[in-house]
Amino acid sequence: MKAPPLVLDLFANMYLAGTIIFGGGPVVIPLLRSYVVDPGWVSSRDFLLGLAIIQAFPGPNFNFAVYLSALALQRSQFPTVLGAFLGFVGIFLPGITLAVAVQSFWRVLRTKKWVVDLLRGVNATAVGLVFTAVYRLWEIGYLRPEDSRGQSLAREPWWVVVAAVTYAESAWFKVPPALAIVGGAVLGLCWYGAVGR
Amino acid sequence: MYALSLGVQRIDNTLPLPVYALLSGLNASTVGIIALAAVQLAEKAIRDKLTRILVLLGACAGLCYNALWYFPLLMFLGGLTSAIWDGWLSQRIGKVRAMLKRKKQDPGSTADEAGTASSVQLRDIAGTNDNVHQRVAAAGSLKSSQLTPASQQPFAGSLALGNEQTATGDTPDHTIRIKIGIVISVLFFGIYVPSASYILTC
Repeated sequence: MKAPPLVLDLFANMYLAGTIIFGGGPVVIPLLRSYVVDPGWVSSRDFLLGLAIIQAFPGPNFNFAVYLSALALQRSQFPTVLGAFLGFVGIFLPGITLAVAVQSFWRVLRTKKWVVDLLRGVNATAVGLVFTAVYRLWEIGYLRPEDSRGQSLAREPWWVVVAAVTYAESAWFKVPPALAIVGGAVLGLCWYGAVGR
Repeated sequence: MYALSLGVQRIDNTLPLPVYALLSGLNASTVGIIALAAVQLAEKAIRDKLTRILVLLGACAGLCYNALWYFPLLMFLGGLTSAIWDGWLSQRIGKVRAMLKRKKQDPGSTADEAGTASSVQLRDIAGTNDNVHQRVAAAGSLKSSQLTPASQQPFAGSLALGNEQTATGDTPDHTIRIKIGIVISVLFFGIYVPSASYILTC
C-alpha cells in the first residue's frame, strides 16, 4: 500500500506548485526542487540535467513538471506515462482553472486597491524565492563520480567562471539562453580536456 | 520532455568522466541564466521600497528553511504585508508625521497648515497612482470622499465616469459569469481542504 499515496502525493505537489506560481518561468524551479527532490522521488542529478535542458530549449518551464513527474514514478509499478500525464495536468490545471474563474470577476477585483497591493506583494516575495533557487542550484551543481548528489560549484573556480560568463553574455551580449547553456557544456568539456583527467 | 525522461531513466548511476564535466558545465551555465532571470524579474517586481524589502525578505527566508507549506506561506505573508502597508499603514504614518510637523511649527499659521495638509494628500495620491488600475480605484475613493484638489478633479472625474460606463455596459452577462467563476474557484480551493488534512495527518 505504498504506491497509491505516491501517485496522489505527486499530483498534490504538482497541483500545489501550479497554484502558487506567480510570475511564472523561473519561479517554478525552487518550488519543483523542494517538491520533487526533497521527498527523494527524483535524484538531484536528474533534476539538474532536466533543468539544464529545459533552459536550453524553447517552451514553457512548466514542461519541466512533466519530466520530473515521469521520473518520479520510475521505481514504482506504475507506468511513467501516468506520471507525465499527472504532472502535466497538475501543473497546468490550477492556472487554467483560476484564469477562467477569476476573469469573470477580475474587472471588479482589479478596481479594488487591496487586491492589486496584495498581488504586488505576493509577486515580490516569489521573485525573492528565485534567488534562493540560484543558491541551492549553486550548492549542488558540481557533479563528480565520487558524489552523485552534487557539490558546490564554488569548489572549482572554473564553474564560477562559466556561470559568470553565461550571465554576462546573456545579459549584455544578446546571446540566446539556449546557446549560452550549450556554451557552458562546451566549456565543461574544455575543462575536462585541460585539467579534469 | 517525456521522451527525455525515458532517456534519463536509462542512464547508469556511474557515468564516464567527461560526462560529469559536461553536466557540471551545463549546471554552471544554468545557474548563470537563472541568476540573470532572477535579477530581471526583481527589476520588474521592485517598484518602491516596500517591494524591495519583500524581495529581500523572501530570498532570506527562503534560504534558511525549506518545507512544502513554507513557500506558499511566505508568498501569502508578503501579499498581506503590501496590502496592509499600502492600503492603510503608510497613510496612517503620513498623517501622524504631518501632525507632528504641524505641532513643531508655530500653531498659529492656518495658511501653512492648509498647505501641509494638501501636500500630504497630494503625496498620498501620487503614491497610489502606480498604474491605471490603481488610478481608477483612487478616483473612486476620491469621488466618495469629495476631497479632490481642484487640479486633479476633471481627470479623476472623467476616469470615474468611464469606469462607471464600462461597469453598467456589461452587467447583465457579467452577473451570470461571476456566479460561475465563484463556483469554479470554490471547487478549486475546496480540493485543498482534504489534501491539507491529509498532509497534516501524515
